[in-house]
Amino acid sequence: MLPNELLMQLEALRAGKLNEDEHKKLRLALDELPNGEEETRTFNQLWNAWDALHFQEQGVKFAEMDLAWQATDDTELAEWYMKGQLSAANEQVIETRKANDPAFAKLLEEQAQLNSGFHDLKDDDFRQKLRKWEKDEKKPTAKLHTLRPNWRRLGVIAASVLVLMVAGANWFAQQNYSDEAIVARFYKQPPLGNTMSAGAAEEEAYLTSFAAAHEALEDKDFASATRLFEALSTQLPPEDFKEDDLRYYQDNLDWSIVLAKVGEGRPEAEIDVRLQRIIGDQEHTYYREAVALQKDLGSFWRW
Amino acid sequence: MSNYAADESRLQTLATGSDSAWRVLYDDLRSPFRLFFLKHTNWPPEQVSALYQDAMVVLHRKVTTGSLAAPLRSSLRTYLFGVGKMIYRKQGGAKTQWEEEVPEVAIPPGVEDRIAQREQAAWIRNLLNRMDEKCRNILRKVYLHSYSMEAIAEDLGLSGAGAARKRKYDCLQRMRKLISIEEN
Repeated sequence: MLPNELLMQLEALRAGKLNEDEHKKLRLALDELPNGEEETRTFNQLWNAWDALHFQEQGVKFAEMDLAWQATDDTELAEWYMKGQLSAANEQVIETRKANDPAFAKLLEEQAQLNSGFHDLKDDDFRQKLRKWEKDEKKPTAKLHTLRPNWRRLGVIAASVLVLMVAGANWFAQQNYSDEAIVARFYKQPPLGNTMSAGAAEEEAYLTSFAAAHEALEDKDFASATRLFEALSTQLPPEDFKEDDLRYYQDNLDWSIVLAKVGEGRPEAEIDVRLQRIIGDQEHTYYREAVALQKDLGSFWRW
Repeated sequence: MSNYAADESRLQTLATGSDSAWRVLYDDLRSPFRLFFLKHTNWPPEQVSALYQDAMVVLHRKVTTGSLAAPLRSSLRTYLFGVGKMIYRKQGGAKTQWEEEVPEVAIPPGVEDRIAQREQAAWIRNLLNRMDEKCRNILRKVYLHSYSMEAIAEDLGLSGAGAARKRKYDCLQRMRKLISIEEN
């Protein structure tokens, strides 16, 4: 038997916690024991076995954590493949699978569509910025004028007051009744957190598109928002959706399309058709908002 | 001031063995690790996922036993890549050119040999089953859950860390005796 003191040092040595002197002393002490070498070997064997048990038990825990990931592994792989981030061997693995697994091939195709949608969104966003910069460039700058005789100044002042009144009314209308102001007043971004259940790749794709459309609306990229919401409204909702979810998402799409079209400045008739559909259903989640929006769209300040 | 202050603070929580902290780390590093090995090696996705789990277990061992502690010389992410690289090599992975600087990390012997590992785990389980509940409890806490001696003393109502340490080694000696009986 090894005394506890030596056992403690032997374990410290195994953990790399002994310095050279301590190591030498331990060696000497073990050499003095008749069975020192055998005991050292047996205890090391025991500790290795403890490591193996730890490896196994902790491995089971990590394997359980991994389960939650397996549903999204293919989506992630598809993305890396499309970005050309995989080794040549792994690209080949994906291509072979694509050829033999129709579900995976479909996933790749959908991922490509989604990527292209996001690229369009980025391009549109940049285009909007360019337009805004162009507008800012064209704004008139202040000019200096020479003073006029008094009788003319009175006329100028009167005209200025009139201009100020018109400008004030115009400013008020712009601030409160422009397309953008109305959308800002009525639009509330819904929670876009992840509510997926495990394994629902279809649901994930749907919610990602839903979030992208709302982000476009939030960013005032109305053309993209209209396109994305309309694409979603023609798509079948995920099978996993409960009845309440279905109603909520459908109603939100109806309402968001109206707002996106208002923001985009689409013709009144086009907006009205969709608005009337909401107003005609008192159970619609956005019924009240639709009634108020109709009133604002017909306001005096918009003429 | 360390370059890896955030990781070192995270390391402190991980060292307690907190399952939730390990879960967060597992989720944070899984995608970067998989992408790294899918990019730099010929291993297919399933094998890379298994490699990730093995690397995490080694990291868990190193952190909970205190063999990886502050000050860190690399981020936890890079360190884990280093562990993965060593296991990859031990498991016969083909030579590859790593783009980033990945450290050489010593890993415990036998990590790559699953059969030997299963046999050893079964052996120690068998020994444990032949021990009394108290010893089983204390040894599991020390070697599987990395409890500190202070925590064990508190848990078992002992006077302090010294008493807990003595109890641990007494139990380990008993385990040793069981091996002698087995051999005879």
